[in-house]
Order: sequence, then C-alpha cells, then structure tokens
Amino acid sequence: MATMEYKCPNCAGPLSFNPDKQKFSCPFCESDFDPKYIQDLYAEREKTETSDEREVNAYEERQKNRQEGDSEEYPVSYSCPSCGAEVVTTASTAATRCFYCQNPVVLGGRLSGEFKPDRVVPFTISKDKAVEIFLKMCGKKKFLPAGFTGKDQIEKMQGVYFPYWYVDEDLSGSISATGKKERSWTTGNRRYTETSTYRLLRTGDMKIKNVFERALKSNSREMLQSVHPFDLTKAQPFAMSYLSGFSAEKRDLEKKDVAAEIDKRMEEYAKQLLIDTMNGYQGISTEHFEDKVKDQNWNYTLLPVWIVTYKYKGEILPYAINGQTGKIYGSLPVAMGKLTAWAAVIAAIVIAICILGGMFFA
Amino acid sequence: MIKLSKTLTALLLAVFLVLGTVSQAFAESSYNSYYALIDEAEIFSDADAASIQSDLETVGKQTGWQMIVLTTERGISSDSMETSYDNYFYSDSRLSGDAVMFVIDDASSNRIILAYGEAQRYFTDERMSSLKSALLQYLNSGDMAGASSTFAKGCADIYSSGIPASKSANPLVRSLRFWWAYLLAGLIVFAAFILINRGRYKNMGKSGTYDLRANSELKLLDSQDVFLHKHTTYVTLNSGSGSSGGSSGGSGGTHSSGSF
Repeated sequence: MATMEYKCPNCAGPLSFNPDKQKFSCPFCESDFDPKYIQDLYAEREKTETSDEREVNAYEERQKNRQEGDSEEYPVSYSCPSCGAEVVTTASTAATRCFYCQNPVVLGGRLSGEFKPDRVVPFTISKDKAVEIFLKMCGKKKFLPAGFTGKDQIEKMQGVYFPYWYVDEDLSGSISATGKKERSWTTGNRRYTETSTYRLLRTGDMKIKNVFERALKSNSREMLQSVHPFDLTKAQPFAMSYLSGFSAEKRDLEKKDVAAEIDKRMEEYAKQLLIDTMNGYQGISTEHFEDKVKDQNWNYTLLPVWIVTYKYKGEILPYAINGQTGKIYGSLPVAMGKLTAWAAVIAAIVIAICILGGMFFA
Repeated sequence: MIKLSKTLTALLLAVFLVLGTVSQAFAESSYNSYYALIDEAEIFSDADAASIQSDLETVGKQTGWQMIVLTTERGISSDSMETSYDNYFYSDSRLSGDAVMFVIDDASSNRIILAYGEAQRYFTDERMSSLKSALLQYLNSGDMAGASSTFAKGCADIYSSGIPASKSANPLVRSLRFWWAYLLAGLIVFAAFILINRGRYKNMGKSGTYDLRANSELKLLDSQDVFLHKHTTYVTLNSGSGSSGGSSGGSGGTHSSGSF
C-alpha cells in the first residue's frame, strides 16, 4: 500500500541515489541515471501514490487508533513491493529499506499532499565519506571505548532525510536604544574621561532568510539543530526519488508548534541587525523595539544527515554528520579507565621531572 | 740573709712572672685538631678555660669538627662580623677543615657562630636559631664561659640530629624535601588532563549553525543619533612612579652563619 520502489530501467534492480555521482545508480548492472530521467519516468506512478493519500491517511489513522495512548511512535506495516515481506515502520518514517530483501522502499503517501516537502537537499556525502569523517574525528581521540569505531558500529550508520521548517520573512522594525561614546585626554597629572550618552533611533526594512526549526519531535532537538548549516542554494524541488536508498522521516511538528520559537528568533535577529548599524557606540542598551511582519514564507524541507548511535553505559549517544557539508555533531564517550591510566602516567612523569629538576636546583 | 731573701724574692717573682706569662699564653691560645680556645679578650679564668677546653675537645672528638671559641676586642660591627671572622678563620693556619667557631667580640658586644666545611651541612637556620636562643641567657648575664660550654653542647646536639635533608650531599634527598609540591603538581596535571580530555570529547559541533549576516538584508530607512548628556571624570596620575627594589640577603656558600 502506497509504497514506491525505484527500479533500474535496464535490469529492474533497486535504484538508489548516489551522493558521489549525484545520479541514480543500480548496484546490479552498475548503470547510472540522471535524476531528471528517473523523476520523469516515475512521475505518473508518484501521482498515483499521491492520489492514494487519503487511503493512506485513513489506514494510518485506523492503525493509530488501535494503539493505546496517543503516541506518535505507533508501528505501521507495509508490504515490500519487491519481496512482499511485511515492513514495519514508525508512523513518521517516509523512506526505509526492507528488512528482508534490503531493497529501498519509499512510503510515498507519507510525503504527499499536505505532507509533501517543498524542497530537498540531496546527499552529497556518501556513506563511505561519512564513515571517513567519523573515523577521522575518532582517530584523534585516544580514550574512546574499545569497539566504538568497530565494523559493527560503523555499519549501523544510515543516511536519513530529516524534516525541517525553514522560514523567510520580510519585516520592518524600529529600535530605540542608548549608547555611549568615550573620549580621554591628559592634562597635567590628571587623566580625564568624557562619556557622552546618545539616544539611537533606527528604522529599517529587513529580509531574514533560512531561519530553521526541526519538524520532528522524536529526535534530539540539539542534534537536529546543531548539524546545520546547510547550503540551501543547492536545494532541489522535492522529488520522492531522492529518498531512494535512504531513510526519511515525515514531519510531526506543524507550523503552529514551532511558530513561537521562530518568531522569537526572528525578533532577536531583526534587533541584532539594527543594533549592528550603531557603529562607534559602547554599552548599547535597548529601550524599545518593535517589528511588523510584512511577509512570511514557510518551507518544509528535507535535509540529509548521516546518523549513527552508540549505546554506552545505558545511555544512547547520537552522532550526526551533515550529509552536505560533513559537519559532525555529538559527544564522544570517554573510557574513564583508559583516561585515568594515561593521566596517572603523565602525572608520574611530571613528578619525576620535578624530582630531577629539584636535584639540580634544591 | 738579706741577700738570700732578695735572691729568693727575685726568684719567686721570676717564677710568678714565668707562670703568669705561661698562664696568659695558655689562656690566649690553646688548640689542637679537635678544638681551639683563643681568648684574645682575656675574659676566661684558668678554671673556665680548662672547663671550656674540656667541653670543646669532647665535642670535637665526637663530631670530628674543630670546635673554636674566639674572644676578641676588635670592635667589629655586626654587619662586618661574618666577613671579618671568615678572613680570620682562613688566615689562621691553626684553624682549618671542618669547624664551628663561636666568636665573642667583647669590644662591640657582638657575637657570631660560623660553621665551615662539613659542619655547614648540619646547621640549618632553625638549628642555628635554636642554638642562639640557648646561648642568649648566658650572654645576657655576661656568663661567657657558660655560653661557650652551652655552645659546645649545642653543637653536639646538632651533630646528633644528623644532616637534614636540605643540607644532604645526596641531591635526591635534597630534592625529595619538596615531595608535597611535586605531588601537588602531579595531582594538578592529573586533574587537568582528565578535565581537558573530557571537554574535548563533549558537545562537538554545536556552534556556527546560523550565519545572520549571510542570510539577511537590511534597508535602513531612518537613523538618528540624539545627544542626551555627557559627564566627565578624572583620575589623578602618580607623577613619581617611585620604584624601589633591590634585594638583600644571600650568602657566599662557603659557610653557614648566625650572628646575634
């Protein structure tokens, strides 16, 4: 039901988007296809999936109602279009792999209609490159637990398209603030400081772009926010085919859920822009600020992130690598035994050096 | 008879003269490799001198140091005593090697204890102060013989206490006197190493998520800077920076000393 599988036009093998080539690649016949070609080829099918949206939503609603409580993490099952196996996903999963045949499956209904993203930033960093970045970060750290960079751990890394809200805003604002200027001079044996206070008034029209907020509540907000920035000039109009070969999540936070946070940050940024024009003043203190939104444009955007998690001492530690720039986020675990041993050895060396030094100078 | 008595008187006077001269000479300078009692100021009686000699010799044999008591009337000021009696020590061929010298300058009422050679190792500042305190009550009461005997006994006690770590010939022993400082340094390095490394592993990649400058445009429609008020303050500069400095103290390293 409402699943999409992109097959190779040559051999019917499963197609995945290849970040290195920025093309769709078939792992069996090793053919590469331009995204436009695949999107045109599957345009009709994607439309059909979109028309199934009501059916999908109704089905998911029924599934959800069967669950106790109102959790967003209720499981939903689909049939794999390749092998017919039952694929169980969470309600927010929009693309995954069949657990049995490993073929990529896009759950088209999840990203259609009102849930259709406006744009997607395709992966430009492949899994191999992401692993290299992750290992490079770990390579300089000597106190990681054994097995942290092992093969089993690395194989868990998966590419996920996470949903975000992006907001562009046109607004006008005015600010009233006080600022100080200081002038100093010396006469005789006195040093004078003259402090002049000014009222600073600024009014301006502003455009603030790409203020973002996650649109998925189940994952760590800090991780999803910290993996930024992305270069949105490389964003493409959304096409489901980009998700093939990756996991993808459907948004579960609506505009109204994040509007307050976005408004707060827009106001801070607008105020900062006006304050930045108050050159030459010190100790600027805002007395009054007001802004008026003229136009606001929301974009539902899918962004590429490589994710790997590590369970250490009962805690799940997430690591995220920006799938476009390679920026990495996460807190590494520390093997305290190893660290303590090293610290003790270094402390012992320092003590030995002190004793030797003392033999010459005491 | 008269002639005989004159002769006897002359002989007796001669004997007294000779004995007196010998006694004087004995009091002024009596020494061997274990001790030296040089009473230039002639402040000790024969009995005192004999008693002091005995004490000095006993301690000298025990310690292997030449125990010296020197009385003078040179009137050397307290500032110059150390240098002056260093010169005295090194210029007198009877005095050499490992020695401890107690100088009583009767003219200036200054006194000093000087240690030479191996004996220096035993005399820390604390031990020297303690010995000086022990002597002070005798010196204040003018009992120089008592002070000299106490000096001898005090030196014996110091010898018995052994060479302190700070004066040890073994540099390792000297260095280990500061074990607590080394341990503290080690603990600081230990803690710093752990904290720095834990910090390096935490919260990577949290910064630089949004570039406002790159994502914004501003068209300034109005800009006014309105003067409100001003005030002036001043500080008075010190014209004479009055540098003072220099350091005092320090010793030549050839002996330990304590004057009082």
